[in-house]
Amino acid sequence: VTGVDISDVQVERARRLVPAGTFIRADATVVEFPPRSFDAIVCIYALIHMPLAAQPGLVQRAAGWLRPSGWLLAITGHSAWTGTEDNWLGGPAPMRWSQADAGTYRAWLEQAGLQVTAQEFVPEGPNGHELFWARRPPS
Amino acid sequence: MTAGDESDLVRRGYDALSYHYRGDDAGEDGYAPWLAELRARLPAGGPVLDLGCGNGVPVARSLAAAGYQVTGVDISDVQVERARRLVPAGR
Repeated sequence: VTGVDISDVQVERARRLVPAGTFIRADATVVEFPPRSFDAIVCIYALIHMPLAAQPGLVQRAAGWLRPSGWLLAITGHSAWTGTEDNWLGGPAPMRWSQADAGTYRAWLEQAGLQVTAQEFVPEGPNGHELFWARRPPS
Repeated sequence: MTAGDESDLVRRGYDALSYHYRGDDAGEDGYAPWLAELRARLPAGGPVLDLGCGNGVPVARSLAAAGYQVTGVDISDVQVERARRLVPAGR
């Protein structure tokens, strides 16, 4: 649905009242979006499932999809680790992770031109992950 | 293992483990403070991309309910099918 209205208020209300989620089945390491498309990009517990060599390139491209002053919220690895777990969650299929350490993720964010404004450890059992808030600078 | 093999393993893994990972009616749980902070930082109704959206719960569900235009990307067909179903305005 494409809605057209002359009133900013009506359009803002339409956007609020008809939340349109769009879901795409794709490999995030090869998906593309136009530059400056998003106010925010969320990537929670997802980068760590992608091939390690593809992760810095995705961070770089995602930075370009943010509008100036837009936010990236990411959960990354805390310690470097690559491996497969056969009975994750007690389920019937193996799962795979490949992650760098937190310092490496911070460097990739900064190399992508993003400003890291917060970084914190998120504990999970005996291990944990790293949370980053990173902002694209104002144009 | 090639990069393509790694991605196939993750895709097949979430196809099989989607419901083990998260139920349809899961709450925001540990994500709640992150989602609240994100909402506080964003202009109303703007576009948000969720890379690795899973079944859409809780991130896409929460942001769509708050009026944001959410686009979710996930490698698993099962996860995306659930996300389209669980976030009612999804398509």
